[in-house]
Amino acid sequence: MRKIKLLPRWCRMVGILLLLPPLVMFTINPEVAFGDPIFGSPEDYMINGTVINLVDDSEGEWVFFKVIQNDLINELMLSMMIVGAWMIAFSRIKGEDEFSERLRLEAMGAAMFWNALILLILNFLIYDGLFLYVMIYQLFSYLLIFSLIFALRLRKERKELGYEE
Amino acid sequence: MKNSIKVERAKNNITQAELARLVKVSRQTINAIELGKYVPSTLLALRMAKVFNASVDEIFQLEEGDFD
Repeated sequence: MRKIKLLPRWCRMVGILLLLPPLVMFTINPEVAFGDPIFGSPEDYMINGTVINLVDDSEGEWVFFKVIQNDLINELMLSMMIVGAWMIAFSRIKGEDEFSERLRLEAMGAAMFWNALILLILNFLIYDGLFLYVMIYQLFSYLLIFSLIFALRLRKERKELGYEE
Repeated sequence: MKNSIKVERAKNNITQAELARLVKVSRQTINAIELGKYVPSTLLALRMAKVFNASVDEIFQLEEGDFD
């Protein structure tokens, strides 16, 4: 029988370690997402690199595959957040079996619903430039909501089913 | 769907933990199936039937309303 492919259990801890630092920084100061550090000036933390910009419109028209210089700190932080949230969400749990797979799928469905509902509500509560932060948060919020719902459901079921009758 | 896993376990003198080990799932999963909170896959039902040396429909039975 085909099973859901999952990461080893230790990946959960690596995911937490990857996710927490940028998430805390992003929560304290959302400008972090655009390369502004919490302490000091952006120049203190710059990691300049040569990258390929898939679509560039800085000169008024679309230019594809343009080679540019860019500060990579925000790309690095966003990658840490997404990969960290992904590792937390898709690591095996102790005693992974078809029942936990079902809980996982139910949690995914619930996370899709709640994530969309939160976005819908914030759509009418946050306007202008601040909405950009909502969109950045949406890049990994689905995975976080899924992990939270799954952990809560798993805890509830383990508590209820823990005692042999 | 109802099941007679608890009865079969008693007949065979097997604990939930032992059954879980034999069919390769967690003990909580066995408990969830016994309590009717989770309907197992065909594969798991067949494995359980094999452990109890019975047929699947001796262990799992349809209830009224299962066709609704």
